[in-house]
Amino acid sequence: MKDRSRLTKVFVGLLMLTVVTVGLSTLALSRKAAVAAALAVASIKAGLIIWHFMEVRRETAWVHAAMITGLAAVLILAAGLLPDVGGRW
Amino acid sequence: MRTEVQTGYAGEVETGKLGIWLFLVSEVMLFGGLISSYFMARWGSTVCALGAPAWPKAGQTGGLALATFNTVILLTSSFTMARAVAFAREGESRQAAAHLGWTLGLGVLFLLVKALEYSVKIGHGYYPQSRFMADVPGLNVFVSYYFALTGFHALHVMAGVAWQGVIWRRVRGGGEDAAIKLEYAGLYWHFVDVVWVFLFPLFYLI
Repeated sequence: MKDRSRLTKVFVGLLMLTVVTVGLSTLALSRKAAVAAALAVASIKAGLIIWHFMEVRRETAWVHAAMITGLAAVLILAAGLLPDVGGRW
Repeated sequence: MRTEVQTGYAGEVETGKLGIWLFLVSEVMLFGGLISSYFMARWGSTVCALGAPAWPKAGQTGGLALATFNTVILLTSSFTMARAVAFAREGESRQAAAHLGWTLGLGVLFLLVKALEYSVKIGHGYYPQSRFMADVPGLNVFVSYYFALTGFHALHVMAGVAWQGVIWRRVRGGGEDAAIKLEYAGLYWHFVDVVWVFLFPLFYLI
C-alpha cells in the first residue's frame, strides 16, 4: 500500500516534469541553454523511472554493476564526441 | 522456475533478472549510439541546428500535441505497469492482471497515435526525397533520423505489447512465477519509456 502511494507521487512528478519541459521550450533561451535544460529535465525523469518504477533502489550490487556499465559506456561515447561538438558550435 | 546463483559478495541474484538487465545494457548502447549520431548530425547543421524545433511551421504544433499526448500515455503505462508488479507481489492477481491490461491498452494507444502522427507528417510532405523536402536542403537528415529513431522505438513498443499479451493469462492465474515474469516484462517496458523520455525533447522541443 505504501509502495503504491509512492508510485502515485512519482507518476504525478513525472507529469509535472513533462509540463516543465514543454514550458521551457517556449522560453526564449539560447540554443545551448535550451539543449541543457531539455536534457536535464529528461535525465531527472529517466532517473525517477529507473529508481522507482524499475526499483533499482532495491536491487543487488550485480544489477547496479550492469546498469553502471551501460551508463558508463554511453558517457564514454558522449565524452568522445565532445571535442567535435565544441569545435562546431 | 526461479534460478538463483551465489555471487559471493552481493548475496543472491536472480539469473533471469540479471539476464534482462544485461539485455537492457545492450539496448542502452544501441539507442545511445543512434541518439549520439543524431545529436552530432544536428549539432553542426546549418538547417536544423539543435536548440530549437527543427520542424518547419507546417504541422509543427499538431505534431508536438500528438507527441506530448503520447508522452503522457507512455508515462501512464509505466505507472500502471509498476502498480501491476506491486499487486502481483502482494498476491492480488486480479488487480495485477487488470493493471497489466491497462498497460497493454495504453501501449496499443501509443502506437495508434504514432501511426496518426506519421500519416499527418507524410501528408505534409515530411518524408525523405519528397518535393517539399527538396525545397529545404539539409532537412532530409533530420526527417530520416526522426523516422528511424521513432520507428525503431515503436518496434520496441510493439515487442513490449506482445510480451505483455503473452504473460497476461499467467499473471491472472497468480503465483510467484507470475510475479517474476511480470517484473521482467515491466523492466523492459520502463526502459522503453526511458528511451521515449529522451526522444521526446530531442525531436519535438529542441
